[in-house]
Amino acid sequence: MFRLTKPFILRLLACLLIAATLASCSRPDESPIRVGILHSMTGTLAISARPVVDATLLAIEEINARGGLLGRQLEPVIADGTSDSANFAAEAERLITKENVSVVFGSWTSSSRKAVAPVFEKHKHLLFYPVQYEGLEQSPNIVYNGATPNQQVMPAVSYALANFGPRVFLVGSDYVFPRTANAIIRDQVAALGGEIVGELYLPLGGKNVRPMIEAIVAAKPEVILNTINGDSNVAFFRALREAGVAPDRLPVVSFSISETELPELGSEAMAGNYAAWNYFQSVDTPENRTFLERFRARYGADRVVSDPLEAAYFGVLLWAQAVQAAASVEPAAALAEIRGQGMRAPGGLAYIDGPTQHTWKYARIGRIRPDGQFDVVWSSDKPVRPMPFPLFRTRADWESWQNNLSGSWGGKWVNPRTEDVPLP
Amino acid sequence: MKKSRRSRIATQLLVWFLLLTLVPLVIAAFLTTRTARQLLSEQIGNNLRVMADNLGRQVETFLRGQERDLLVLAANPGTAEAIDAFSAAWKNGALDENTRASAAARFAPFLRRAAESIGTDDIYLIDRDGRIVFSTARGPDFGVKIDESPVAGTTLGRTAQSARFTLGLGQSDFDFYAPDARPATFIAVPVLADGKYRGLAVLQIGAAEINRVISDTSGLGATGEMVVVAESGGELVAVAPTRHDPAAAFRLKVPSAGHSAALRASMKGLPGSGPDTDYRGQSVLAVWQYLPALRWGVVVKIDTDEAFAPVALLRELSLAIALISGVLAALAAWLVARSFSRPIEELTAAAYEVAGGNLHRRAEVRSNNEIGDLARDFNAMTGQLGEMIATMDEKVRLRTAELAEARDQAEDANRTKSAFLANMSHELRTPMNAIIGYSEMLTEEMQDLGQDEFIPDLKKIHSAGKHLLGLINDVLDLSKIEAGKMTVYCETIDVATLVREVESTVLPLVKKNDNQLEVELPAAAGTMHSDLTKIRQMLFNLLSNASKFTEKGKLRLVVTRSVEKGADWLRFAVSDSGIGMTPEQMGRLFKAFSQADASTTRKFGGTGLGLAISREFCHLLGGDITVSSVLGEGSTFTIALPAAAPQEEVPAAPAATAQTGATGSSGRPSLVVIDDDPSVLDLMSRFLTREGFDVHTAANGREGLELAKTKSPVAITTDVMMPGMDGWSVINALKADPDTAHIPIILVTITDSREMGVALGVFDYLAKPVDWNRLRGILDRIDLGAHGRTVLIVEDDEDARDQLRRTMVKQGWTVLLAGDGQAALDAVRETEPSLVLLDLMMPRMDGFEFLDHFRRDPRFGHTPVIVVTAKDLTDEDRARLSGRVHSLITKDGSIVKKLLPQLQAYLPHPAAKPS
Repeated sequence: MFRLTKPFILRLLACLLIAATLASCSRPDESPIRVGILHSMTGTLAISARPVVDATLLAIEEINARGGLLGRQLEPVIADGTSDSANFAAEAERLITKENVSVVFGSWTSSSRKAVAPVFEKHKHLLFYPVQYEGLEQSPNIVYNGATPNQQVMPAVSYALANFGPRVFLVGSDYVFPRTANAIIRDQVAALGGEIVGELYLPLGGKNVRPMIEAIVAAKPEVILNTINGDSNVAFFRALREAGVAPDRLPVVSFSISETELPELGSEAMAGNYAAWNYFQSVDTPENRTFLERFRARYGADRVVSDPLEAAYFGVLLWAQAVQAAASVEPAAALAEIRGQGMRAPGGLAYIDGPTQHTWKYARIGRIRPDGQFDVVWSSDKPVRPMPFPLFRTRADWESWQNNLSGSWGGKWVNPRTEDVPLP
Repeated sequence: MKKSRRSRIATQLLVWFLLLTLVPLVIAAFLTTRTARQLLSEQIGNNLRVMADNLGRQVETFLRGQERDLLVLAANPGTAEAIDAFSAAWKNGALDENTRASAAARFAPFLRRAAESIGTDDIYLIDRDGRIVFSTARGPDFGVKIDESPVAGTTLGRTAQSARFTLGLGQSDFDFYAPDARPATFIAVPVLADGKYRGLAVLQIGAAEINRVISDTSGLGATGEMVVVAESGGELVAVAPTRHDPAAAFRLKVPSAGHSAALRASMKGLPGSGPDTDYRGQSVLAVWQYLPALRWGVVVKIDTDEAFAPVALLRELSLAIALISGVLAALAAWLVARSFSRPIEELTAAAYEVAGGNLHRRAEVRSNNEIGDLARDFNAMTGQLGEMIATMDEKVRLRTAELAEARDQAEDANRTKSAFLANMSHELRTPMNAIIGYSEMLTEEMQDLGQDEFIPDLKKIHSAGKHLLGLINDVLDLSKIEAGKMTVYCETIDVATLVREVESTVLPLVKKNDNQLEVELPAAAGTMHSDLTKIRQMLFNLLSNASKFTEKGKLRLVVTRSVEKGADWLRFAVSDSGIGMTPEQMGRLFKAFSQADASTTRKFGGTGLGLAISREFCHLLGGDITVSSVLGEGSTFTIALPAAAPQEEVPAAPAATAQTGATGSSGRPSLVVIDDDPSVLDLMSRFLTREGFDVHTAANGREGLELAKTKSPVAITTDVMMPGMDGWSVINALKADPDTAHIPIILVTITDSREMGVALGVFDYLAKPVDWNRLRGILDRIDLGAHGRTVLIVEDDEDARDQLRRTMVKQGWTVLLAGDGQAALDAVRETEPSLVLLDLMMPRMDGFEFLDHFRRDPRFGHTPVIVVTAKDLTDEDRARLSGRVHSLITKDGSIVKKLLPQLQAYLPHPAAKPS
């Protein structure tokens, strides 16, 4: 005869409970989520891109440290774009099809972004682009965490005209961003009654700056708006100094020089020049202090951070929020949820704009200090709505303008010429 | 008992049924409600999220719509012209009303139409200098520059500046606009003409339009609402009325901590959802998100009570189901328990009755299940049990008969064995006696003749014979013990006498190994009631062992008397200073046929049976024998015996005989020796002649009787086993004859016939081969003269008493008189009579009763009593007297004539006490 002993009843109840629990739970997927990081680990852009990779990895590690995403760890897969657009496209293809990543964080320079955009659109995949750019673009498969012209270039132009004078000299690398940015700047300077006294381009990575400097000295501008990218800047500023051009008399407002690049350029020599960004390391918010502490704890106390790093960092976190909300790592699902995701990023509130998939963020202008940091001389009073297409022309006009540009370069987004030539 | 079992089954079933029904139910209910709550929470969350999204979209759509309209307006060349026209009315900060009026006449209708179609509160035009040059509402801000008071710092001022600075769209927060004294939001757009900046067009959107967009609570149930907050003046405030607080706009403030955590979370940009406590203190389910266009935090929420009402309902439903199930389970348990326990009870009742002996009881088979099977099996079993019991008697009878047969066979075999043993003992010992006796006799004669050269050989013969006889005796003793035939004869023993006798007997043996014997005997050793022969044999055995294993040493026999556990005990401790034993040897000691070790047998001889026999004797006498020993230092054997052996008293026959005092013709006392063994006759006559007796030998009983009559011997020795008339017949005949009844008879026999002899009233007993010293001792006790005769006459009739008194006095007796039994008992307390003449019929205490008391006195256990009575004795009377009186004289005719011949036989003897 059975006996109703207490341990027996307890065991029975325990079994029932366990069975019920097991039945009610499905085993979660615990395999890691693969995320792609696509940057120029080598080549002329590596100097700028490597710290962005560091910031991206920091965000990934933070997510893993707090238990991962949907109970899964993130596994970064780093691909090297080698500062070459074609390689960017190939690596993007590989990350998506071979590495089966759920998202790609990366690309620096608009030419590489333009090269990979068709790949992401073809696979209906997802790219988080962390760098300021020229606008005129709205890919459904790209989330733009960098500034649009109205969040960076246009306030800087207004600031320059109002503070330094109407004579403006434009210099830039000869690829899509500087060309487009300067097109916008020309419109804006014209609208505000300023004057473009010169516009010259260096090939990407070009060092032959002498003709440019000579032109500047000859044109006597009141401000130089600089869209030169990469280590060409080193040559440019050295030559500028050598030509006796000092910031107090002829300030340069740069759009691609941040705390990261300053040490190479010589912070003290650069002091007094300006840069326009959404974020500076010196921004005083609690979020920024935490970010800086973590970054330095991870990579060293001597490291500096800059706008693209911040954008790359919060881009990963916003993607994680979207995945959490979608409860899926599928790119389409994350894309559906990325609209409306926002957070208090180190540089202030950052928020993905629904219609454009660009980011609401603060616009700031800083003056370079001798220590390589920036004094913020102007800031928008609230996050600026991203407007990829400046109001000066219609969207169709802008797109046809850009297509013509690319067409003149043989369908590429970088001018294939090697000579430094002025725009006709 | 039945009740409790039934209740136990019912309880167990109840518990199990409830467990099996309620546990899954409870778990299911728990899981269901939990899942339902989760699902509901998710679903409601999704619904709220959709609403929040919708709200965001609506606001966005609304603002973008306004924006588009404004952009269209700004792109209209007329707008730039209007700005220029209105701007022209201002010169050096002063308004030229005419110019303004003409501009208004030209552009105001167009601008008013635009404002109407856009649906805005106000359209501002701001010129390149930043002055508000046109306003459809024309409020206090008209004509003011955007970087001047009161517009500077307002939402309008900041937005206009931003739009001018970035040449992009400016969207202000929805905040309290001071110049209009009401909340509003502004959208500013730069107006470009020919690529040149001409000014700004600004829309003002008031609360009414905004509230229209956000106050839609359809689909939010009874308690759901949206709360929209924004930062205003450093505080978080609601910017629109809420469902529960229509006056909330710019009044309802959100604290920096405490309730409304969702509202604070909404301002962080991160969308989310979860439980919250709202500004009313209500527990709510909330979804929040951020609207960057207006920098709004939006919370869509619904009261938890309403949200989870279905779950509460589900829980109540589950509870009801559980209750009903519980009741049904209890009912089922009761019914099942009843269906089980009823047949079991019936079966139990049947089992009880069957156990009580009613084998015809059958259990009623109520069901066809296992219990039914059990009942059927039980019935079958009961039937078989009945049959078995019926046949049992027959089986027992058969088996008993078989056993009886076996027992008879065994008894036959045992009788045969006993007879064989008895035969053997006689056949073996008879020649041994001759060997021993003659060797002794020859030794003495050789000594007398001075022919000493034969003496050592004779002594060897004698010693060998004695040894052999000892072995035979031991073997026979053991056989008897093992056959359970060893009997105990208890008598009163004077311990001191016993010890002295043993001492003297064993002394030669002690001296043989140059040992000394020390005897310690307490002065008050007293008497004991036990088997003299056996004690003597044991002591002799122990002492001879001690002598054997000790050389030139000291032997001690220590007798102690003590009271233990209420009984009187005597201890005989025999210690030696001999070779001693190991514990292992001691363990074997009392086993038959075993000495301490095999080599001792070779060295010291002996059967090894002595100690085994001693132990058996001790057990028979209610005691035990123990040993302690130290190897090389000696051993101590202790016999502990109760002073009174556990043996029923053997009724004593008239024992002591008196001495006739007759002497033979030689003038020496004559003595008759009866034995069929010529060697014994020869040896006895040699010894007794030397002791100074006139010895008459008889080879058989008849001859002996003849001699006893004619020779008037002072004593007769007789063998027991003789052809023709055996010793018992001789004794009976001697006792029956008044002429010989008084003659002391000494049994000299091989058989252990002491008991029989005492019963027949022999004087003493000797075992063959004759221990001459003992014989001499016995003869010494036979008093050859008469003295100290005292007779107690117990007679109530005075005449009869007097007559007896005169007769006894005449015969030379001292007379004590008593009138009844009580007086007689008083009399013997002082004086011990050597003879009692006892009447039976007396007042106070009659003769029977007197005898009871008299015999109980140890002093008078054997005092002769002659009953002189007129009573016609019944069989019962005779039985009562049997063994307790010596003779009976009836009071008819001359008492004296009957009494006189007998008196001789009862002459007192110093050794009237049994030895």
